[in-house]
Amino acid sequence: MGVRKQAGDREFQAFVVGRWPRLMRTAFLLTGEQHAAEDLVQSTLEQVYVAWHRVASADAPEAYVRRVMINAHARRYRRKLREFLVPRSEDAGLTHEVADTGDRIAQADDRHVLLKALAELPARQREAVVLRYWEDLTETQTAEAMGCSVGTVKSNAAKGIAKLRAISGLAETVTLGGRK
Amino acid sequence: MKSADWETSHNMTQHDIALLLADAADEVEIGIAPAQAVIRGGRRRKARRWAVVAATTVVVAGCTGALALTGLSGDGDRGVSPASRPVASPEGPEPHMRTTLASGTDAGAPWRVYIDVWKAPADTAEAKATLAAMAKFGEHPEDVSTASELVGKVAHFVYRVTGEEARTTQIADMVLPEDDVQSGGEYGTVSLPLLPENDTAPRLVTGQVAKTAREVTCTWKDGTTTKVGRASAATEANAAVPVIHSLKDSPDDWFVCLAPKSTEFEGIKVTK
Repeated sequence: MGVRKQAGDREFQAFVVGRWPRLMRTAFLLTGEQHAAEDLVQSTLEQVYVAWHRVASADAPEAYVRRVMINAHARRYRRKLREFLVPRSEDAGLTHEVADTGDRIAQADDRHVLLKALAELPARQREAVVLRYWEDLTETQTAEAMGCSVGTVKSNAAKGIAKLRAISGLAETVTLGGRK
Repeated sequence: MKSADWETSHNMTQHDIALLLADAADEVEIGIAPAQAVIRGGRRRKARRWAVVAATTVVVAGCTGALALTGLSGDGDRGVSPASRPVASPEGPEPHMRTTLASGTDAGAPWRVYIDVWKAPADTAEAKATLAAMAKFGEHPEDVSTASELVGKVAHFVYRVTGEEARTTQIADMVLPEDDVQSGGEYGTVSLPLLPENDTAPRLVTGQVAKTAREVTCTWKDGTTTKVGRASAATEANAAVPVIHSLKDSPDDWFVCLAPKSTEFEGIKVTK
């Protein structure tokens, strides 16, 4: 193996270790499932490795990685792997009661309600919501990651948020100020 | 105009959604980053890249109804290559960058696979000259749009020549950084029908392996195998014996072998 390639591999390894937690969280919100999230992140990073020569010298490697991940997510969605998005059966039919924010059971319920609600959003709306409100990207950055116009991002994010607000459990949580 | 109350409520809602997302994201088990597995997977993808190009080319060209791809991810990572076009074989002696990887006769029809390897240019001026030289042979890398993109990269073009009329078709186009070498048992392959038309069994196998590989074993679907080793006095005496070729300017070594008439490609492994 060449010296430059070894150095590139070391650099890439450091990149993977450093970005893995954040990418896993984003992938989890996109897929709603632990193993699907791991698959998505690993597949994304393998693709990044192929282009690492170019990615490493780019100004914003994170933007490239996000674009690859969103593309990979979109492709999987098109293949209708909806089983990744469907909440587990034991989560179905949970009744939601608003409780003290310190209540761990209620907090877990909120997570499941949100993940279920996210899973029910169309893929593009889910991507827009996750990138805008979890990744905290601007509309322009989100548009770059999704490969669409800013207008499309606005539309998808607004529709996604509106649907999340309409979920009764979330609406109650949001009305009370959300979790801090 | 939106009311102040609506704005406050709207912003609060989005703020709360962000908090809920952060809370939900914490539910995932992060685990240890599988960096080595990712690198291995990345190397496999890299080794497969040219095979995808070749397969796409054949599909676009509509030359055949069946082809087999080794380890093709199906992720559609690559764009569509320009349609493979029959190219005229330049007459006269072989150009300096050309190497015949294998040749033979199948059911009375001669065939040959050759590769053109263009040395990595050191700077943009050299890259322009290289692109101009390629153009004289009807070659241009699919991944390269400006000369600067070719700097430090080796361009490969693989061709299949069949029949008495020497019908020549480009089946692959790959550009690799000159230091992007394969190692150990890494490989890339593509299997295609020998004939561009009226042939469906993927029997013709073209592969790239590490320069350290001493033997590759091709396995056919009927369970038989063909071993491809390094050139020796014995193999030089018999042009029909496939060998691994070391090409001066390529970061990988190359081989081609053909499955027996009654079977087709199953897989390969670097066995030594």
